[in-house]
Amino acid sequence: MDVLRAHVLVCAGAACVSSGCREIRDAIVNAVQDKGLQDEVKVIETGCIGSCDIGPLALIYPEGVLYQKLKKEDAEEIVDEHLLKGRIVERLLYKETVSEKRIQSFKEIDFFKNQVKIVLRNCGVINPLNIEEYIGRDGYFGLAKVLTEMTRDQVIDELNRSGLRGRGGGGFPTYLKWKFAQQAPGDVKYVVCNADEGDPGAFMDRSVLEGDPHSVIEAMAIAAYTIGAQQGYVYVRAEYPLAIERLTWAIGQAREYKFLGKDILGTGFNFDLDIRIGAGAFVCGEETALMRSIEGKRGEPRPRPPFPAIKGLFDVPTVLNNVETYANIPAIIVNGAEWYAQYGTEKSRGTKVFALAGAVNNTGLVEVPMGTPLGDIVFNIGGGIKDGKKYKAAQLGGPSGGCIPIEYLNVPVDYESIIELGAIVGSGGLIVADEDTCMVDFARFFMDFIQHESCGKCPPCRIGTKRMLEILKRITRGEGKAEDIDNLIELSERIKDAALCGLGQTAPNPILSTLRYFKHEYMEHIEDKHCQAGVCSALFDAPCQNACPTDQNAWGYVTLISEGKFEEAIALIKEANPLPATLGRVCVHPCENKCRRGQIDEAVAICSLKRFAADVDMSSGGCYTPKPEALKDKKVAVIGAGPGGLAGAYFLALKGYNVTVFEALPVAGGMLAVGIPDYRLPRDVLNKEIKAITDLGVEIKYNCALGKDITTEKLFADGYSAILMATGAHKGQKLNIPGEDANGVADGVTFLRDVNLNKTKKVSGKVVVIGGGNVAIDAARSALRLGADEVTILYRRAREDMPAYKEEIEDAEQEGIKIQTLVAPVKIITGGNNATGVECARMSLGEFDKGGRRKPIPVVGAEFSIDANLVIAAIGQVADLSYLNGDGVTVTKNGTIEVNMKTLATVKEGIFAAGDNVRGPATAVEAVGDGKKAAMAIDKYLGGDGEPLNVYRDELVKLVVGYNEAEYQKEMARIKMSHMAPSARIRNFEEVVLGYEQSAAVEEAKRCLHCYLREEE
Amino acid sequence: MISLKIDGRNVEVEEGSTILEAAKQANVHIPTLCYLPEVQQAIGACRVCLVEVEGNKVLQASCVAPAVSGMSVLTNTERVRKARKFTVEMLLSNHPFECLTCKRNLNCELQSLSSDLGIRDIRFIGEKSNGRIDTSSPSITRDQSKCILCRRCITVCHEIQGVTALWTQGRGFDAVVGPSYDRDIADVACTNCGQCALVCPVGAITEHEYIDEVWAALNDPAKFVVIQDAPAVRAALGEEFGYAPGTLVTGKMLAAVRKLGFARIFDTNFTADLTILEEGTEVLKRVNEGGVLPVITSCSPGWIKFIEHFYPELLPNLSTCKSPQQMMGALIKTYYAEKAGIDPKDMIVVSAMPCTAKKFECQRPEMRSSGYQDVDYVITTRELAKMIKQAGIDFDNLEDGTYDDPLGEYTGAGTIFGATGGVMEAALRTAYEVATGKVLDDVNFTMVRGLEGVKEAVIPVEGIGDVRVAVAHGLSNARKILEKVKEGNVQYHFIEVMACPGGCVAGGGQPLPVSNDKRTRRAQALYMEDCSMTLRKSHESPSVKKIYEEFLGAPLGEKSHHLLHTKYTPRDKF
Repeated sequence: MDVLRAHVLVCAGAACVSSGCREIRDAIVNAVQDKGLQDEVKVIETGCIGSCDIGPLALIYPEGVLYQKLKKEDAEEIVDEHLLKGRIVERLLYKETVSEKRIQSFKEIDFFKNQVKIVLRNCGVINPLNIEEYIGRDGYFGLAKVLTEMTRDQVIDELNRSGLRGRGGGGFPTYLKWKFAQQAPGDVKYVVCNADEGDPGAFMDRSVLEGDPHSVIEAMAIAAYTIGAQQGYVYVRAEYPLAIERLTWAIGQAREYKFLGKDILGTGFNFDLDIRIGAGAFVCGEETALMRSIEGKRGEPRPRPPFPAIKGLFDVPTVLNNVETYANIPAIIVNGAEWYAQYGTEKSRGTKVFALAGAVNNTGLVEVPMGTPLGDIVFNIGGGIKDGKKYKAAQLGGPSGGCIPIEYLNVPVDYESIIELGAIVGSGGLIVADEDTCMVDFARFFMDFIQHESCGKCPPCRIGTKRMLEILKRITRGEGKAEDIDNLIELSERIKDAALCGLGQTAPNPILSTLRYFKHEYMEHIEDKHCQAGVCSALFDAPCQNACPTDQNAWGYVTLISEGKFEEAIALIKEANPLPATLGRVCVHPCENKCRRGQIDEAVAICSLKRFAADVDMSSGGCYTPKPEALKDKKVAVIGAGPGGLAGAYFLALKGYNVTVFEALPVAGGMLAVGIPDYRLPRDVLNKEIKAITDLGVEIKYNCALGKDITTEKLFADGYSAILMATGAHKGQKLNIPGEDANGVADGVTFLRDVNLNKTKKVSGKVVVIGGGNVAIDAARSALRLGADEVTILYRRAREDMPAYKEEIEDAEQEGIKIQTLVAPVKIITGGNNATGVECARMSLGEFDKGGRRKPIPVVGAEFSIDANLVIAAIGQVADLSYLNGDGVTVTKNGTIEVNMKTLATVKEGIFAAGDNVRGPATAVEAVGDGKKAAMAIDKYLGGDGEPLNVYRDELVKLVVGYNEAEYQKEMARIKMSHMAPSARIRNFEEVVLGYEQSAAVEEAKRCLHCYLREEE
Repeated sequence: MISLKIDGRNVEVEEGSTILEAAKQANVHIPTLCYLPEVQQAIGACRVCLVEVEGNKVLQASCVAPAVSGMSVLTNTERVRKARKFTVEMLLSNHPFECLTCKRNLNCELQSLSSDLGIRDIRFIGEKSNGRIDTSSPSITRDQSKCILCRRCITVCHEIQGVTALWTQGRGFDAVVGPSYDRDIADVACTNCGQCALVCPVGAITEHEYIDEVWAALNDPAKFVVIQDAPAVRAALGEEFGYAPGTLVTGKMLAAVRKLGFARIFDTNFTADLTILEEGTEVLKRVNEGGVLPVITSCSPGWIKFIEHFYPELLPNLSTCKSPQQMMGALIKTYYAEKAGIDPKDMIVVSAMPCTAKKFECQRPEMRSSGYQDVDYVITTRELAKMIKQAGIDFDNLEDGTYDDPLGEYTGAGTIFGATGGVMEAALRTAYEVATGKVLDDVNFTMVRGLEGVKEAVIPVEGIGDVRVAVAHGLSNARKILEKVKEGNVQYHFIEVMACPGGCVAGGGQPLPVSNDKRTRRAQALYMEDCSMTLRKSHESPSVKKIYEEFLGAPLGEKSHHLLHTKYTPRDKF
């Protein structure tokens, strides 16, 4: 055999085959020949390498370089550059999702480096069509050892000590199954392999059969020897043609090499193996149904006992294990039970293969030691959630399993721990759901699957799951009833008890586990007819509007802008939002997170389009407001002129109330005025919008604080019929570290308020900002603009955990602000009474907290200090409710006003509350939404209909789009607004983001997919 | 023997018993639905017989769970009651609420179960299964909306009858029981035996009723409506009126039928006797002249359809004799019509039969030798009982009625046609005497009686030698014999096959439910009657002799050939 210089392993798992790996292999082979390298380089087709989302893949040894997402055109470059000239082709290397670093050796890739491969030891390494490569990796040594050195009892003992448990889902100790079958009387016995993998998204068994078929053949021969069988069957689903092809080939080779057939290895032991192809019924994965199917009958389960080990295939003792269980066995026999048992936990030994799918960055097959924390699989190996979205739950164990919510990311994945949380390890399906998943719909999906796959034999499963599915469908259509939850629980409990087989007995699990952790989502669907995730489309027109706290008809104004109807657009916007020019600049735009366009390329710039419409409106000098209803003879007091209070006043005024706003500060706008710097929100823009509100007849009384200048009692006495408290959250949180009271230490909100009120006009020296939110970024950028020499932001977690807007962080860095992550202050260093620096600790990330972020833990001995003349602590705000004094309003333990979240009414009659003093520090758009909601509740309280303005909706749904939509449906990035250059902006408070030109706005609006237009189901 | 605890009480049972059997022994009643011991159906599908086995996580179906030494079973816990009730609630949630108008009203196992379990409302309402009603067959009506998928029909059709006309198809809520590919039952290899209807616990499979048509004929003054009834009817009809199984109610039945308005009542037993002469002659002729042997009886129309579908190559072995019902129909519309001076076009012949297959038989195109459809309507024993009830007849207090002449006279040989082995026994009585010219010492050929699936006998007959006969009832038993015949290892002369287990006494149209005990009792009633009669050989019947003299001439003669014999149609297996 020639000595080869390099091996090119081309992944030929089914996923890579379907994305064209064969063409790539051929192209590489051709290129190798063209360059005359055929004696030096060997191209091998292997089984699945694991990370299917980046296929087709090629792994080049000896370097271990992994090339991803290959096209046949890449072949020549790989051969020319890498194989001939020894230069790595950078552009084809794997790119880490977070760091975006290109990684050369596959062993350094997070996805691979955190895995332990026992089951998959040969997958992606050997050519599955070549038995000698298998033998070269200790293949069939296990069989030889068993046949020549071990008694049957010794094999069973070895398995017992290894702790191997059935990987098909049940987790039953494998040795016991074998022992029962061995002890069962009978001359004829069978060995069966369950390769009827049916969980949606699971494909570990397929990959083993495709990538390492001999490991299963060898294990089955070992099992046959142990129990005394001479015939085995592998039951594979017909949807796995490649697995069937390779297994058939492997069986042929094994016969040729006398590992199957008569007198195996000259020991007198006879065993042969046949394949039975199943038609792909999920229930045939149930062992008794599987055996029925092998017998040629309808694949239906029968009650157990008797168990297959006693009465199985053709009514004789049978050992039935799944592919993954078998694949472990040769390795255990060769390396010994103790070697295997070192992996995993005490009760769950060894490794487990998971098919990682769903909303993670890296999908594919992963093998980890049992007991690996779920969060490690999702975040380390899976690379976290796609598109920076938030983890919501992981479904473990397929349709029979359950979901594990964000609070339990630290759970060790082993049989017992997972069952405790209401899920099962199952066969290893692991589907990750992000914030865009509706858990009611999620349960519906699995129930739909179960109902289709139920064999129909027993009524609890046949009819019970149908009834559950019907209830779930009703709930997702907004037709849920209060009793539905109880009915679901009753159905679940009874079906678990009464169903015939494992499929039926576990069928309710998806419902029970979603109800356990996400009952609030069910309630939201049933009571509020709202689907927060924006999935249950019967409950809304479009997901953008559904996501907006103000119920802003975003799809409507985007469409109007695309048609050049700017006036109509602003009229529509102002039905739901009094501050579009403001929110168009500072909104967190939850609408864009849910925009369907984002699934193609990027979300439509819904927020910026709102700003455009509002800017057009104001450019003519005025500011549009809808016509208010006739004046009512009723007065309402609003406390606080922030976004919540202003919105409340606006909607109340539109309803014809006489509204007075009492504001403690000398300016209106609340945090919009005193929290957000001018370069993000020019004051005159805000003021124009406030003026439009006062033009409706709303009076604002400045410097008038509740509890000091006025009391609720007095207001009622003065004839106000209702009071809306919208006092915000303006109190900065303390760091609680030594030195905090020194001069030169400020909290973020206070600092920004002083800047905005012109009290702080200049900053000098070095500034350190502590925190990772928008206040921290605003404070840092303001300090820079006021003359700071150097501004550094310290954040204790990782950069991807920073709550501030991504664009703001980028803008800050462009302006020269430094951001140090994984750093926490431990002490303010002082000189005299002044702050001179911050002593810091480096942090590392530990376990996950309840919110799903890893907890920062100080690294001992890595302390350092940093100079600072000004330290700004921007780590959060709280509502200052010290004004409440005998008003009858109650406060929650979180320090917010207690309200009924549906009406925002406090426990005191006539007093309502909205915004940050209800929610804690939240967003402007939530405050506006609350203001609107509270205004409608007050209207209802005062005898009105409580219905918000809604003139345009029906008109808009009928709107005909006048341009060629198809042209805008192809991939097309959003149009960016121009920004002022960093050098021109860092020393002043001029607005940074410059807004859309008219033509750009119209073009951008045309990117809307009009997903609100739907065909009736 | 092993010992276990049921509800705290010790029970000793044989090893291999199920929990249900153990409970029975302990006098503990466990409700069942899909369980059917006589057809060996214990599949644990319906989940009604659930019990709690201590130490076991899941509830067990007691019909199939083995009793294990030392186990402790609880049959009446809250969990068990809730599970059983829930299961039946699920069935009801997918069941039409048409109990009052259902054919099985007051005789429905689901209804009783629902009542026993105390179900008071349907808590889970939702979509109901596709309620396809298949009326394609003149014998059987299938209403899929009522089917609860207990699969008893499938088991009977596959295991007992070996027919496989019914299957489970589809998955989940869409699972149905029916002919493959959702075809009409008339379009598949169904023998119309109606055994499925006998085991159906609900109204999903029932006989195709002809009650309205019969009433319409009776109400038509222009029609001369004649009825014939088969021997098995009188042995079971009483059960519909509360009489013990095995009570012969011939007299009351005749009086009731007369009251319903039939102009004449004839006895199918008469043509049974006639069959013996025709068939016996045919057998002897084939034996003597070297015709196709063995000869196989042809009076069971379910059997006829079976052999047409599954063994068309053996059709030449069938006797060419029509069944007694069809012989009677042909004679009524020819011989009797002529004798009574009635235009056969104005005659309506109704048969009261224990059989659903007869409904199909009378509509066969070859059954028109009178020039008209020889038998117009077939009603089952159940339908006859319904008509008597509809007419408000006080069955208990009826004076015994009688048959009409000349087609009402019969011998004991004719009456035992209703039990398995009866035709064979009747034939042997006549064949022996005709062949040997000697009188039989003992007319009781008991070796062909009883519920053994396949019965064989060798009868030495002077002049012929050993006559080898076989009797099968239930079509899977028929298969066994036919396979032997095909193999050619056995040399039978004559074979009797009845489609239904037990013969006509347990036909698909008999009162429900049927058990082996009832089969035996009904048959005994017929043998008792046979025993009590002076004439017990068909060839001794004066009326039979007379009809040959007056009308037919000789057995296998030209007129017989035309009116009493038929031919068969090979059919598809699927």
